[in-house]
Amino acid sequence: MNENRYVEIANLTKAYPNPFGQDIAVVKDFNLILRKGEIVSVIGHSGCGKSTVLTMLAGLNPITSGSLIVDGREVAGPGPDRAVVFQSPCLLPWMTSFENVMLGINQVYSHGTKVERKQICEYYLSIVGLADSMHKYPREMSGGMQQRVGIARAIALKPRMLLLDEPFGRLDSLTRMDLQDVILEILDRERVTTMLITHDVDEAIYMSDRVCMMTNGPEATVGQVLKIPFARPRVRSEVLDHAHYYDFRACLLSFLQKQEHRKAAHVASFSKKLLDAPVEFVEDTVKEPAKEPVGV
Amino acid sequence: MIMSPSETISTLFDSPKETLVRYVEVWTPNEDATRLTLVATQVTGPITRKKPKHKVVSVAKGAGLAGTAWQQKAVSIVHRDDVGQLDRINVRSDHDLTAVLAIPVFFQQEIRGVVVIGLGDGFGAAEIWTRDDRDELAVSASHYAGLESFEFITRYTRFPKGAGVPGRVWQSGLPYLLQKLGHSDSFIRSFGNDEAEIGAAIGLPIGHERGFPASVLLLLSSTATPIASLTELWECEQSAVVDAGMPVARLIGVTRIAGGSVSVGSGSSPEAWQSELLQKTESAGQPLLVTAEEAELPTGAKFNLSIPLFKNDVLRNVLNLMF
Ligand SMILES: Nc1ncnc2c1ncn2[C@@H]1O[C@H](COP(=O)(O)OP(=O)(O)OP(=O)(O)O)[C@@H](O)[C@H]1O
Ligand SMILES: [Mg+2]
Repeated sequence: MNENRYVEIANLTKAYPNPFGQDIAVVKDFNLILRKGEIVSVIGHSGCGKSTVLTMLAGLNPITSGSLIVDGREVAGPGPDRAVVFQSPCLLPWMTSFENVMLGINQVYSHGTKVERKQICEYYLSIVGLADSMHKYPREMSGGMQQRVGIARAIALKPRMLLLDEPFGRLDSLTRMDLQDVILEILDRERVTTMLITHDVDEAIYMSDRVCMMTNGPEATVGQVLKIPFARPRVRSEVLDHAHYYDFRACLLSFLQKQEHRKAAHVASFSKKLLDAPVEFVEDTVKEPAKEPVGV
Repeated sequence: MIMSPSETISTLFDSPKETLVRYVEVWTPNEDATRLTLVATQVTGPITRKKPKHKVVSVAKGAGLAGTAWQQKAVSIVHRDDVGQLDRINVRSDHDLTAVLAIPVFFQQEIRGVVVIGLGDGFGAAEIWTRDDRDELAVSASHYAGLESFEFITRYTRFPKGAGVPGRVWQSGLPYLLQKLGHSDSFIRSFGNDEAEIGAAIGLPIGHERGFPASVLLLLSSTATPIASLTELWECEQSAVVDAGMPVARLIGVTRIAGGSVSVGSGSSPEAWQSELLQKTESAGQPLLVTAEEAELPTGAKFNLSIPLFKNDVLRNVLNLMF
């Protein structure tokens, strides 16, 4: 096994039919390689295809072309080796947090004794800070607590890979920071290779070893990858105080800003194509920045 | 006419901007390709030339800067402090040059020449992108004029296959010229605040390794001190016309950086000077440095450097730097 190429995403493409029945590649030729134990964030504008990439990696969404290899094996459907946490934890409402986590453990540790499985379950619930809430039902817990259950359930599977799709998207900033630290602590200990989708550049910098910046769709792909060199384990205040924190931040923000312009230019050039007769020569120096058309 | 209004070019050399490239040499192999000989030298702007020490300067594979680029099949960079040690560089003031690059040109595995360019002060950069242990491109050697924050972020930047200009060149094996527009489809690299300086990027595939370029040379051109007064990347096609039993290359596309702006054109009737230079470069199959006395160039231009770029055994592109 090659630890340097633990997860290999090669020329990954996903096409969906548009309303006219034509296949449109939402994501095209997406290439990314993750090292074992690495945490990679994916940022990009809403709708660019981040979740599409993640759900394909999870095996929940069939790929159109390309290849996805995790630990030497081609992804061919969902499996407990890749645990997913979405924005909402999708807990079973009639089960307690303990029972919800146990559900996964029973599948993966089918060889273990009942006592062993119970211990594993308690261990993971306690490391996400739910030692006192093991027997609560989802309706008795806050969103943040429910998300902790979701995280415990994912980690307890001992996955090769953790796939997090905006896991803190619905949480207030204090809970969010709390959970970021919970996850970082677990990942520092367990070295699970992780893909984290986020809209928050500060979260991307604090949490990850690398940030993958995705271009806008259609045909979204990797635009640029930024290495975040801060040592682990990380201390939030030290990261924030780092001399280069704001350089990294500015880089990510300016990428997103450019993609915003790109989107506008795309729409503009598309309508130009419709209006203009074929031209032999295109002067590429646009006089005025294209504006986002109203209602698009 | 192949592309833009020719006024852009006719006025371009009236009051040319200072360019980042200040010095150009072309080295070509002797008949049995055992040595490279310095066949042409030109200086731009304020640098004056030293009297050459020797009448004929030639190097063996691995010797000197040009010989090193040849042997390693990679661009060599010499930085400011070491430029003075290059006794072949025939300039009076070595300190005018902040870096010297040697760019090898191959036809398949065969050396066709080495282009040496000396860079001066201003804004711009030369970067060599090579594959790292996980098949991503990272900068392995570089020179920056200005652009501190660009340089900083680049240290932490990686491009997977197909991403960014380096990733694109690597994947296609073809050169690529891109203008940075804040609102363009394409962008060079995000690095933060002071992004205004870089106007365009030229990516060149260098060498071959398992079907892909061994490395990518990226030249970053600013509006303040562009790489050259006029930069043109030509796309060629083997035409059906046969001359003396050989197909003749035909110009099918031009991407141009002139006075800081980039224009793209395609068509079938190139200008006279373009046809002449293409024909000369193709028949030489080597990098070519010609002065306005030796070839027809746009009014006011002093000299032009043509670098032929082959893919497999076909001339696919020519990069022209005109001063
Ligand atoms: N089943 C589908 N059929 C057609 N198009 C789809 C389908 N699922 C997703 N898409 C389109 O694919 C694109 C990418 O969607 P995706 O959910 O991956 O974006 P995202 O980057 O995760 O966005 P967000 O940040 O808002 O979560 C969108 O334009 C979406 O409309
Ligand atoms: Mg999403």
